[in-house]
Amino acid sequence: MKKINLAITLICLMCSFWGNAEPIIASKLYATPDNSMLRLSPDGKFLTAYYRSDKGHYINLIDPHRNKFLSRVDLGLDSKLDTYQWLNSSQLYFSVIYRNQRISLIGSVNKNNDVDVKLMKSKGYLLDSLTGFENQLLFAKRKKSRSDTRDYYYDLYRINIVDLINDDFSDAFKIKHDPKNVSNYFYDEQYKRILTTEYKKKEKSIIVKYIPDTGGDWTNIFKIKDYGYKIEPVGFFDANSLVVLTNKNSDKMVLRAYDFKSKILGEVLYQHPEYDLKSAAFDDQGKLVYVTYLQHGLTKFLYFDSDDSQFIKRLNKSFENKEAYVVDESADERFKLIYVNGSDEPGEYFFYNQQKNSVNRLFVSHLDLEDKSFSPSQHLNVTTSDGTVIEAFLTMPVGYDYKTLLVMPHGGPIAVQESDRFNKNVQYYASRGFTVLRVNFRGSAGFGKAFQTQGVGEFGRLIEEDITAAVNHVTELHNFENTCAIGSSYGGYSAVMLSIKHPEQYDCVVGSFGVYDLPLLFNASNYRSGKEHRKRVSKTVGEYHDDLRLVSPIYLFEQLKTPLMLLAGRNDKVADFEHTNRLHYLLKRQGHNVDTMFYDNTGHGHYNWFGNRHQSAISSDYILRTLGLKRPEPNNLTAAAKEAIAEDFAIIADGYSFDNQVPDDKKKALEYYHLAAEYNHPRSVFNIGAHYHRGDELVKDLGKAVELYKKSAKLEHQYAFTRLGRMYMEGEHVTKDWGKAHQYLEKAQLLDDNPRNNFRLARFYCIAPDKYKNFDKCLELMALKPYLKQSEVKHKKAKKELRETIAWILFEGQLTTNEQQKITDMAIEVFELTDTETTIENLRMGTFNYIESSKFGTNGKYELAHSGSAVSFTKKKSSRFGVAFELDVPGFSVNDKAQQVAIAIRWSKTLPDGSKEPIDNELYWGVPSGDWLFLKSISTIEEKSTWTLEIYDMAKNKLYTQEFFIDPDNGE
Amino acid sequence: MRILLATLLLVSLCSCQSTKVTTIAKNEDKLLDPNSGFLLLGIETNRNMKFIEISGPTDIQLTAKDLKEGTNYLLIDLSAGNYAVERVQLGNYRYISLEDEENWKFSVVPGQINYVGHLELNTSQNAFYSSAELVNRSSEALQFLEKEFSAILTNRKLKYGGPGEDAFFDFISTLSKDKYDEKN
Repeated sequence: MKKINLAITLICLMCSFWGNAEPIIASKLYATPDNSMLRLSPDGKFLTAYYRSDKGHYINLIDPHRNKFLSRVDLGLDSKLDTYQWLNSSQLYFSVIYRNQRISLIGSVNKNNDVDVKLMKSKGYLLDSLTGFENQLLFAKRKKSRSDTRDYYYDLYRINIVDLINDDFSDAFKIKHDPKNVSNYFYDEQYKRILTTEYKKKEKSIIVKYIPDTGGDWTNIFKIKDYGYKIEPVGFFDANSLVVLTNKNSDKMVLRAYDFKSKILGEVLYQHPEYDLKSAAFDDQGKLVYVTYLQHGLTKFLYFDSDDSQFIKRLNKSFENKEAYVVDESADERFKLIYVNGSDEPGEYFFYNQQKNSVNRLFVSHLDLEDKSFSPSQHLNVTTSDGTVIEAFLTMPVGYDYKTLLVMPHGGPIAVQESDRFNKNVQYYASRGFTVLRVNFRGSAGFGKAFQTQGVGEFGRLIEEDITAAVNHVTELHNFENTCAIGSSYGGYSAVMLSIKHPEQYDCVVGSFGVYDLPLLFNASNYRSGKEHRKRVSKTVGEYHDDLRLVSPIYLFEQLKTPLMLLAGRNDKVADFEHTNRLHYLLKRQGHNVDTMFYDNTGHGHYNWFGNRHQSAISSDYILRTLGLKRPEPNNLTAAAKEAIAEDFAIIADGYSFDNQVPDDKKKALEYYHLAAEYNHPRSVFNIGAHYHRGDELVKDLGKAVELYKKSAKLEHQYAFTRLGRMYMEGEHVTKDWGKAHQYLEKAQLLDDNPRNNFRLARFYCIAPDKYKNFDKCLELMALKPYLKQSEVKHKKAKKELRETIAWILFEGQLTTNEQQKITDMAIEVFELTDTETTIENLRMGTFNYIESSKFGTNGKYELAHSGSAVSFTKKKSSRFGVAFELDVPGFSVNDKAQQVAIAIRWSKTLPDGSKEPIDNELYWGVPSGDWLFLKSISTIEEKSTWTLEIYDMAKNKLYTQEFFIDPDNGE
Repeated sequence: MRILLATLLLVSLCSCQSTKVTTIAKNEDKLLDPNSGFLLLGIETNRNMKFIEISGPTDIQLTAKDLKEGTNYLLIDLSAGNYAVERVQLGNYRYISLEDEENWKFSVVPGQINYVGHLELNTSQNAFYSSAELVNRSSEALQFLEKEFSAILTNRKLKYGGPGEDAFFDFISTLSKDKYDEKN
């Protein structure tokens, strides 16, 4: 027994550091769902899903009964699906955003289960598929906009599907109505009414109105305004009244009838004793089908029909502690599409077959998360000091535990609510060993008007007391070694205030996009300081009063002792950057160490996934560093766990390196790439090599660079292969070796057939000696059509990359006349050239200076300062050396803009030891007229060197060659 | 927000009485006219502007030199009184006329540095659409003065004269200067 125990112990020591769960890779967690917008055809025969990947955007057609893929509609990478629906059991309507324009498509499923797609010529949108009228639908056709505004008008039609596809409105029924001041249209199928809303600027209200679907005058039925209570229309109750959700004269949001003729609120149709109702649905006979509310953070569907109710009960039992609900169903309700989501479930789809009484799993929303373990949340009821019961969610790590509590107040703080649905931020931290606490403090939505109103004006007071009650509750139950407060927006404010009020309780604070000067909220700008604005703000913050300073971190900064990180968006107009900058200024002035991350081009939150990933990575890195918590050693981790930690470091490094919303800091970039490299992050190893290669923040060392590229190649990084391939092909630092070049370039192309890898291998096949040369492969790899199929944007980028390859081939290729002609023909086709032979005229050669224009709005230009090949070194950034000239082609006319000609340029550098290095090889094309300039910066040259410029035309005639001599030690 | 974005179709009669001004270059406090103060205006624009006209006791025109793409600061000495930003000339033909004057007013108090806000201008690529707002970015203005005009800042009270009200500068002035100098 002892031997077995020992064996088990030894095995467990080799287990993953994280046990069952491990850190989730940020790029897989913070990502758009792969599968979304699932729909069932009315007969339940087909299922459609919007599927997105790096390779394309598709609508997949699936047989849900067998979970079998049938076919797909390829939207291309440049398009985004906006919305779609089944018109009948064999046709679909799609609204797609393509190049910022909305276009409409009709798809028809043919007998082979392929979807034939036709582009609709008419601009507009589908209003309703009209189940009562076979093959007819309601369409809002966009009219030409009025010249004095950007607004569009719409004509409404009931039209046959075939006529709509053919843009033939001759037989369509035009629904007469007044289109002025109308926004979107909606259709109520039960009462055959078309609804719309109109914004009344003076009254600051929105009018809801309708016409019958046969046309007529608008009838106003409802006014949406700030009444001090909520009232939201749900649908028609009968011909003269609406169903509304409202908390007028009630604490909770309840369902009531509203007579729009008499404007009287009628009976309560349903109310929940504890929670605000969120939504309701009625059937065609006006009978209440279900209501929804949030209970313990999950949406509950309360059905009133006994069969429906039984079904939901069974569903809830099958998916305990999760939200499971019907997202679509067939017309006869026999087949249903179910979506499941929960604290530890990112999203799954199921197909329910009533006849077979079976539920089959279809697929998940996030493919990369399918096999991951997540941390479930625990719902808590916490009693505050005045006896109020509030709700909280505690998420504990499933694997390794740093015994560190992260208190995460939500934003708002009014009318916002924490849920128990899948939360990317929570799972990010929980999977990295942190416990996360979230609280629905007073002011949160979902628990009635009184509960919500109690939070108004309680910044830094009751709200933080509620949070502290929850913190005390969980710290009594669990032993934490550290506690940090971390939040965004109001959450950022609250995190800072918690540490000011309870300095003994918090070991660190991370405040993102926070407000720290409450009076500033009332005085942010000329348009955000007037009476109306202040009235709006006071509904959340409380009345504008000097006492707000007593709860503003700016004015309490001397009491802030906890280590702090501040993140903010420089373009934030909700919590202006000024809030964060003030707090940073004051704390720095005091000598309080503050880490900061200020995002460029970012408002109140991130506009892309990189921003989210970066924020989490840098925040968790800060927390670990501040608390002195060690990450596990790479050897103790599974490959996936290692990759997750490595990627966190790499994201931080990338932020400091590349052109993104994070300010550049090369030193920090290198530091984090090194940290990532310790966890064998292939790209980071490569990037460090690149730093040695460029001599960027490191002493230039090509030997070290090659060593790191080879290490990165062992980790299967495609950039490493392509870089090594190029170096062996060009003989850069290494002895030219065509065999090795071939091996590396081929491997790069196999790992990723992107344009760079394809074209570099193409170059190899065109310029290599006979043993390796393969001209046909060279041409095949340079084909641009595959990129055009995927995306026009990709195609454009590929076309740019091709310029370098064609230039290389022109300069280095030992081609036959026939092969040369094929390269020229390719260039002619791709760049639409009209001429291949050209001559240089009006050549100016030497040193150029940039002369600013004295005329506003006109660009400056480079003018020749000194003629000659000896270039005097200068530190002036605007000085250049090189050539300027005009091109002439036979029969050229200045007025002929259709003429296009191309030349190939090569710059190379020779050092005093005789070693030669290629700098640029590029094809340039355009209209012959005007100056063509090829200039290099003088100030960036670091060593004595000879720079050679060669120019060829597409017929491979050498047009020009010139050497320039520069010595940085001689000059300014 | 009433901003009229217009194209100048005819040659307009410009406000030829406007005095063209440019930002003070040297970090030297100067003897001001008793009825003058310093105006500090931040300008943030996503493209170069041609000029900005400001009306008041002295009508002034900020020129293209101080209106380059990015963040600029204008520090000038000016007659005390109430001013209003009138017009932003985007290019040779397009301009923004700020017709809601009440939102573009600011005041200059004699003998003090008057920070009146950052004029934030955002123009679409085709110059067809523009937005303008006068935003309170007091801390950035203070940092700018500490870095570039510490001599003037040392001698003069810094006052907020922009939209709404703000106690931030007054609060800074109450903080212990010694503690700050020691730490920095």
